[in-house]
Amino acid sequence: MFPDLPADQIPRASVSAVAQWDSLATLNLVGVLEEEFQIRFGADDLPSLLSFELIRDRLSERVYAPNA
Amino acid sequence: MRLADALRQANQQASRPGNALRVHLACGITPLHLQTFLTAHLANRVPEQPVTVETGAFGDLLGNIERARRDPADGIAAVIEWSDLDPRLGFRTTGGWPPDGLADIVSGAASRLNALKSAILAVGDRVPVSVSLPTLPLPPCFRPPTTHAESHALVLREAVWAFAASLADNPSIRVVDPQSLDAESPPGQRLDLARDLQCGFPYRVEHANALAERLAALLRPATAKKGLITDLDHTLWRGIAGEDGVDALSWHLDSGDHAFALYQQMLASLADLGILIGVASRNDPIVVEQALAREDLLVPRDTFFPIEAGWGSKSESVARILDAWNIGPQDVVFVDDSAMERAEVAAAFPNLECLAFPSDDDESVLTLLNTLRDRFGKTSVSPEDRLRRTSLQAASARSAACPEEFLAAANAELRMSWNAPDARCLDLINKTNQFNLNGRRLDEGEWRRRPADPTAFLMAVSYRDKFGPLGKIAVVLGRQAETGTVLDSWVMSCRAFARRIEHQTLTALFERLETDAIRLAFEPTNRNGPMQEFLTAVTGQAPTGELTIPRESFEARCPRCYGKVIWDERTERAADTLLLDRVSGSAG
Repeated sequence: MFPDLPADQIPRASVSAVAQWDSLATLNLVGVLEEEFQIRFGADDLPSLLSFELIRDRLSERVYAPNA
Repeated sequence: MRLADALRQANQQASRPGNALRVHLACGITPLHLQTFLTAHLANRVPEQPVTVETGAFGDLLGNIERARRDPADGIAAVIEWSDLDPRLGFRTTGGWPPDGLADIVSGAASRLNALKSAILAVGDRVPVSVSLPTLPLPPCFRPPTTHAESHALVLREAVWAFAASLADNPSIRVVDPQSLDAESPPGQRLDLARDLQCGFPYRVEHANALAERLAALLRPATAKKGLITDLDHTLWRGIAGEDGVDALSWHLDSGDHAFALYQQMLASLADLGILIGVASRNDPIVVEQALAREDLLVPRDTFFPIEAGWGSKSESVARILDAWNIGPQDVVFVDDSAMERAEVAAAFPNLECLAFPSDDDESVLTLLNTLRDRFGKTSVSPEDRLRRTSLQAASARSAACPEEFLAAANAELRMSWNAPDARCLDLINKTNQFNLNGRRLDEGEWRRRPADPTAFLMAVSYRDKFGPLGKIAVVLGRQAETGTVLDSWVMSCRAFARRIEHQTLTALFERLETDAIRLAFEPTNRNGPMQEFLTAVTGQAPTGELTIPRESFEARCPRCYGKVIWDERTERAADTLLLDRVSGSAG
């Protein structure tokens, strides 16, 4: 997604920390995550997917506790 | 292709060196993943070039096509959806679906299709265009239940089909085949309404991939293969000719062997396109001749050339066929029911595509037929395509003759045309490998822009002799640079080798251009050995890069040529007119 982002900075990546992370990048990210984890993010999810940490938490909820 | 792979490919290809292949993606939707997939699929098709896919304004398909026309790139992918014909046919507007408003929607859509047609035809004059028709479901805006086809919906679809048919006649405009798209992307699984409402991108990822793959394939089609080598027993027919007897061989509906007839029908159809069809069979040659002489065979006997029947290995037969055809294994497909035979051929020719004939699986035969159509399909058939087999047969018959005697008695005639580009010329440049100055290919956009360059020239050579015509077999692209005459491309079909046509071509260029030297933009490639041999012969040294051939030294080394050279008067007049236009244009 962000080819210039060093691997060690990925855990700290966020909309504010990564210049290339715009709304288009968020949609691409959502598409890749949906494809990889076979899930669907709803419209309510999108505004909250603003950092690696938030995405990881949301994915944990959806993948490991899908009915939570 | 997965989205993650497409994003990776799109990112990686951007760092390739060289001029980018620029393509406009003209659509009314948010391009999002469609742009990513289109970039990735185009990058796969032009592996040595970076790709840039440019997009336009949301909701303005017509405007985006017109903007693309003003900024010609190397191609345009025009993606039409129902909402581009009337926003009420999409889901992002609420203009109402009143029953008495349907006629208005239909008539408005017809007008919009007319405008799109004009815009696409105008842009198709300059660059290749791939077009996709509406792929998403119509909204439930019609009166009856959704299972009931309502007249307005049918009229809408009819208008779209008529629109597509009117575009498809134009060779630069290629319409995505809905049947092909349906097979990979089921119509009921295409719409992503949630994403459409969120951001204006209405496609599921899988559909975006399937659509982009087709748009890319139409803009940069794969080079069609040239020859097919087929097995006979349990491939062209059911049965073993040598054991069951010729009369027992079957390909008929009533005996359950109709799949073989369909394969025969495909071979006949491919032969009509100029595809070479050879036979490699482990069989008694006399039995094979008897079997191929059966009058109910759907492929005429003379379609097959050469016929290699015997008890040696299949790879040896294939080698002799390739030699007779004078083409490389990468341009050929081999079809055989035997996995062992296919493996033996594949081991000898790793670049030759080996396909199984599924002799006991009718469903898989259809897959094979579709694959063959994809490998060999072409949008147009030139006179040269139809001449290919007969000219090879004639060449084979005379191959033992003394070259000098043969050339002297051939009554050869070379017809030269000047600045008369046509599709065959581009085809030759982009498909010829062996007698090729540098292996450079031209895309259609570059080809169409070339005549506007006043320094550029094009010479094409057609050939015939007493054995028959070869058609247009050589093309030279050059320009008059400040430093003198430069040839940028020079190709000649391998069917025309050993007739000294290349010598007469160069002689004609010296005479026509009244120059004492010609510079050749030669580059060695893995496959242009025949060109290297020619240049070595006429210069006295093996070429390593660009070189200049002085007229005097060429004439001293040029062997005697026997062909009569005729300049095509029609193209002479056309070229003169073009020159006058340019002169008057520059004077004005």
